[in-house]
Amino acid sequence: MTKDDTAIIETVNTALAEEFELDPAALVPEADIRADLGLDSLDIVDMVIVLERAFGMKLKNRQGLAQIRTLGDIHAFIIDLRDGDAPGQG
Amino acid sequence: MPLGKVSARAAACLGMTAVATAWTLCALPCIYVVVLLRRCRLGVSGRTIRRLNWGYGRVMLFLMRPWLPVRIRDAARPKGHAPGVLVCNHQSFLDLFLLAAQDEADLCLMARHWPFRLYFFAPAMLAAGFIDAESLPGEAVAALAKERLKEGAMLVVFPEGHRSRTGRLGRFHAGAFRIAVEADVPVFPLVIRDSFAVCPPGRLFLDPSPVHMVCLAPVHPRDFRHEPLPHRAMMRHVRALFVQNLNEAGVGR
Repeated sequence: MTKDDTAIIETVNTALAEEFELDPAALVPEADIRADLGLDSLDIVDMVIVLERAFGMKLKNRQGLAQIRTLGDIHAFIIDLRDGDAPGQG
Repeated sequence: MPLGKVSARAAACLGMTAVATAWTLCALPCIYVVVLLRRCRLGVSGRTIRRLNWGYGRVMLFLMRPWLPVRIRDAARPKGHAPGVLVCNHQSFLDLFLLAAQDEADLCLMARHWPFRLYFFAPAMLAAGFIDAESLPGEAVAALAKERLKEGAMLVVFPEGHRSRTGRLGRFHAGAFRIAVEADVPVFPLVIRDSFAVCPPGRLFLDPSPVHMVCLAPVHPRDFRHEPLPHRAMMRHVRALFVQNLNEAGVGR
């Protein structure tokens, strides 16, 4: 894991902890967004907006977004976007 | 505790449980008849059934008054207000009845699925147009909620999503606030204190104790329009009001 990856993970975790008042200790990569973090479908819509603001890029309609289940999936999704691996807006 | 006090408490506990059960057994058949009239499209509206539900709760609180005095402070809420979203903290199942302590009678509950599984109450809830927010898609829930607001109903939401297991205020969900922002209607915070002591989760019988309710001043979506996520900012503000009020009363977060 590079230094940039760590920065992305920290930014995601900080943004989510602040916006959704989550316990930082619960923010482990395997945490299920719904079951473990307690976010509902409306929260997930808001989460996308929060992450767009945190990273200054559009995430909505990106392929792969709908498959996100865990916090680790979010980290990987953002890292892939930075690396240009993720397909563009679908 | 002396034995006399214990037996007096047990008698009061049994007494109020018996009164609550007896009143429910009397009222339910009448409510069922009205629900049947609505199903047969005989001129009974959802609003009528909502008012009937409120009346059932109001009489219940009246009958329980010797054991369960409800003190409500509603000076901060303007009289004759427009429709809006009433948000309450949720400490026990009793909270549904406590809603009838306020003068607003056209109350439309928007809740998760489990109350709609209550065998005796579900027909009246469905006929009243109460909204099952868990079983329907988000867009359908929002559309129904806005429809009820247009009918002049006060939408009732417990933003914690479920009863508190500890008596402390839980995390809020944003759905109620999103609807308030989209429909441009105020949120009316209603703080319920001490209902947890009357009926904590898992307790079969009610325990006699006074309950306090405070209607806080309405919160308007226009004050949050400048925020990137106005409904979430509104939600945080309203939750802070609950925390402040509960802390003042020594209930804590």
